[in-house]
Amino acid sequence: MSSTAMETVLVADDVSRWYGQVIGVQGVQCEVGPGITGLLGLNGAGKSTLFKVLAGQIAPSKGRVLVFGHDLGSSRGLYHRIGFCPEPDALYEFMTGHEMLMYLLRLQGFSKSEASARADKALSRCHLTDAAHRRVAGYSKGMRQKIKLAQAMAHDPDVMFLDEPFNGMDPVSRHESMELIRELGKEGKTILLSSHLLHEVEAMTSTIMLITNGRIRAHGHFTEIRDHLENLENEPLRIEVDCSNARELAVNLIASEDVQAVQVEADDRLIVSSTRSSRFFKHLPHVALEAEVDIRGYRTLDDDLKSLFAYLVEGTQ
Amino acid sequence: MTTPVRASGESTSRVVASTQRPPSVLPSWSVVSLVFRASLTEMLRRRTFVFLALVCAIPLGLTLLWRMLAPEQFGAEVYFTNLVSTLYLQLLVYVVALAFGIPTVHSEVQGRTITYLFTRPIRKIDIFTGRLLAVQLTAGGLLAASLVVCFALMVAGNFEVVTFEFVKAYVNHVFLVLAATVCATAVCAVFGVAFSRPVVWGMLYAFGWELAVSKFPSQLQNYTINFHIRNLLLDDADVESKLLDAFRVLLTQEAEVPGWASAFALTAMLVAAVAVGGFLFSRKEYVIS
Repeated sequence: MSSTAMETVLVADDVSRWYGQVIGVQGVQCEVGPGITGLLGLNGAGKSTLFKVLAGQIAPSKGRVLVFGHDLGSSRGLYHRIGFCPEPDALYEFMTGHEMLMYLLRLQGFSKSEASARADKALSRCHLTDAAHRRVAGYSKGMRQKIKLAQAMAHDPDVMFLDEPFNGMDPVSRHESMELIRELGKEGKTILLSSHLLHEVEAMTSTIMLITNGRIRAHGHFTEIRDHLENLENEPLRIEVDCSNARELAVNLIASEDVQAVQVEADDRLIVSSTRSSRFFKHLPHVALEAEVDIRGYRTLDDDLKSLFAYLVEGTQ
Repeated sequence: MTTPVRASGESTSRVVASTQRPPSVLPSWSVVSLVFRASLTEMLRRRTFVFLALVCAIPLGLTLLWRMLAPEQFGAEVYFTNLVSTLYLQLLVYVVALAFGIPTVHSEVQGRTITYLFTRPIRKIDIFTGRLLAVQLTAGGLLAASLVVCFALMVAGNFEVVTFEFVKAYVNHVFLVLAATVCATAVCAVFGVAFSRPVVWGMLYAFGWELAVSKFPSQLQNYTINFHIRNLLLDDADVESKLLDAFRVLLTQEAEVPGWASAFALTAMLVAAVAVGGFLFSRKEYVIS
């Protein structure tokens, strides 16, 4: 727990936000550390409101948001360390991609030459070098998304808020952008990424924050979340295991308290049902070693974000 | 990398604000300069700019008519004074101020690009100031260009009209048109920040408050830009003409305020408009969706 405390970058402390009589988010309590965290929610769940509150775009009606221990609302200097990729398709149409990045980098405090170098680098990382000196007004939807991403990362921020960054991207651009965000996550950046497309988030991170009806329903690794939720106790996770001797492994696994049922599908394949998936994955190598069985691979049959999301949303409605 | 699972409502005991100073914002002059330059480029590429350039060409047509029809009946000085006090100060200044002033920050909000500026380590008031300066320069530049071309049309091949008195009146009028534009644009910019339907309020201000109230023979006229501008115009323009006398009667204006007081009032209005606009912009929350 202490190591997590050291890594906490963003803290929402009992944050609520309402618009007149309408509640956007309510009682949000969360901490986000380095790496990629996916903010997931259905349309109207409060995802965008929470995102704006966390990024300092709107003030919370109640509670507070701290970034590196400071209130973003009263410490605008913190934006030196923050990158924000907004969801609306809005750009400075009269500028070229390079000019737009230069302008925003100059507003970050960089000199003209430094801003130019950083703009070139960001455009290159976003695969926009060829279009750098074309007017933004002529960019395709995918390029527009990329330039938004480029401006969010160009000043090398420690924290990045990416609001639906893949909207309207073609598959190639989407893949390139996902790779880039994964790289940034590996570099130690704290990235909060909102999306309503589960597979997008699933492809990049296993740490999610799930919001429904304006409340954070769960936050953490999705297998941990799954274990955590009491209402999923009776819905075990199914894992298909390819191994050298399915029967031998099944005998050893069935004794484990993490395993609810084992079904041998073939001589080299079995399906395990577990209600404590994270512990199961931890113990599986030890069990296989004791049973002298080689594990060739395994895959979860229903432990994807989609199924988790369905469970969670159904559980709150 | 994994963040612990936390359900909503669970207490977070480690929420402690840092005692270290956060990074500072950028210096104002640097931000104002950058925003000013970018905004100026944007203004000059707007369709509104082209439309208003055409509107500002109306006096040129009138000047050509004057050259053709009545240069002897109305001297250059009389014609120009009346052109400024009626067309420029009663109409063009406010049309240009409304068209450029209201969108000062409203256009960035409507275009949703304001988010890019709000997520930089800069003060919001510097954004407002930078954009307002660009707007004032563009609006003033259009009217100044119109006045310069008017002058050129009046004196081209007609150099005998270029007397000391005429040049003095010309400089005075150009300066006052620019002063009125700068002040009115700043006030319109405040409407753009303060109201969700700024055009309605702007129109009421320009054609109700400024043009109607400024002519009421009461103390209220002291709170209009137009009154003080006309006061300075009439004080400085030492023009004796029946036409101008008729205008004085028509406007029922008794210029009891000294020139320096009008200059001070205009400066105060400008400063107040910039301060109020900047304050409101800094405090106002824009929910961009």
